Amino acid sequence: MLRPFSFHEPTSLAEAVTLHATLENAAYYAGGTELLLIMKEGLVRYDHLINLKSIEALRGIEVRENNGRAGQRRLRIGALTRHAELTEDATVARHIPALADLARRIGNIRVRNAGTIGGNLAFGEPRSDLAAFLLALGAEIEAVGLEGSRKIPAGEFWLGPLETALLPDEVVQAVELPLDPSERCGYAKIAVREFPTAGVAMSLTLVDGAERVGALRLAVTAVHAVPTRLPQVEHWASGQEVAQLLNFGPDEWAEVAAGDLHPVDDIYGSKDYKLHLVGVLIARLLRSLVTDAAEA
Amino acid sequence: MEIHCRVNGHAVAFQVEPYELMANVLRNRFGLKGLKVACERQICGACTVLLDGEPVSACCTLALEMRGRDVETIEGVGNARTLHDLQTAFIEEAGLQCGYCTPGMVLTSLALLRKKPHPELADITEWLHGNICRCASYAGIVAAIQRAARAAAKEGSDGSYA
Repeated sequence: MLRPFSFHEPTSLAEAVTLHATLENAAYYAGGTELLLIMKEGLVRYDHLINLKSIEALRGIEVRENNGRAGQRRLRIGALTRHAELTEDATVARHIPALADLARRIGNIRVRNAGTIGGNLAFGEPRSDLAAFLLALGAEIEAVGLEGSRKIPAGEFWLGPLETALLPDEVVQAVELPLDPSERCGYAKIAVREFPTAGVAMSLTLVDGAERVGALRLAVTAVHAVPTRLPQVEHWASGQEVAQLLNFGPDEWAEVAAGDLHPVDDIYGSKDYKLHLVGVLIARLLRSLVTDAAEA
Repeated sequence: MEIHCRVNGHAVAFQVEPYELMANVLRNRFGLKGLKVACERQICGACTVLLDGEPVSACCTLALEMRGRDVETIEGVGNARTLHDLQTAFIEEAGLQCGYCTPGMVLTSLALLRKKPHPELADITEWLHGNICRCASYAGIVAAIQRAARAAAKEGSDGSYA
């Protein structure tokens, strides 16, 4: 049973934001895969739900060319895009197939049919698969509020568990991922059920005939209070020979990652176990991305 | 709110409050008790129904989302006299014991076979991953899906699964 609320269905972003600003105790609602759960559990109570699903400006997947200021080509994904749609979209498959592969493994089939990328990000779940991937790729989150529209770099978006940089009336409009043909990316996770125990996203650029690491970006989810980059590992791996790095096993990677990560012991595992998982996933990802590069 | 939709092929119209859940409306208003409310958090799959052919958790979906859509519950699969071929396959492969998870398992399997009439094992596990069977009939459930897929292929259908 849900406690009573009124239901509103704006057809434009401006209307939605105005509604949210003027109604007392209102929440934005799209797929509801997180919102309805916390409402059912009585953790939150809202007097108004604002349905975002009639707003066309929140839909669509397209490639945007540079914006005339020598900006980068990017893949723009509307906030209402469901995980199931990411899994099957032809544009995503052509430009960032690793994203489709990630989306295919979010939660379970029912969650994927209802849940949206905008909702996933806005909820600020510390174990979000998408969060790690967006961090590793250096994505931007476009948000719209009373002051208008702004772009928030992924690195500035997640502030704490269930806490994002979104201002109270702001709604995620779209996510933009840079498209770099020289970049290989992937996501690997270890998950017993719907959320990962650890997830690692990697973006890799190889140079010198694919023998050396030009740039490496790594992000981890579920291991810290927020999804986080691994700057020490990135710095350490940059410029190294691929063949050398492939010799490292999970233990070696875990040791390097321990400089960036300070997990806690909890029911999902001890801190050593979580570091070990991160090591396993980094080694696994590097191997698969390097192999892809060799086959290209 | 006024809802017009189709439930198991029948056009229906009813009033609903925005805060009513689909599972409660289907079970208590329509008497469709095949779906079960168990975990209440989208983990177990016992409340699975098909919304426009896609599996969703009825216990975590607002009833108003039924507006203008096709809803299928287990009661719409086969009928009292004639089982759907998929249901027969479940029986033949021992894909159920207590039957509690079975409506969700059958509906999800049906949605899968409609989308992929010749599913690989990886497809089956990807789709059925969110449906839990406490009796551990998993091997039988997988075998049932594979059996149903083979039978449909043998019948030389147009490639689609009903």
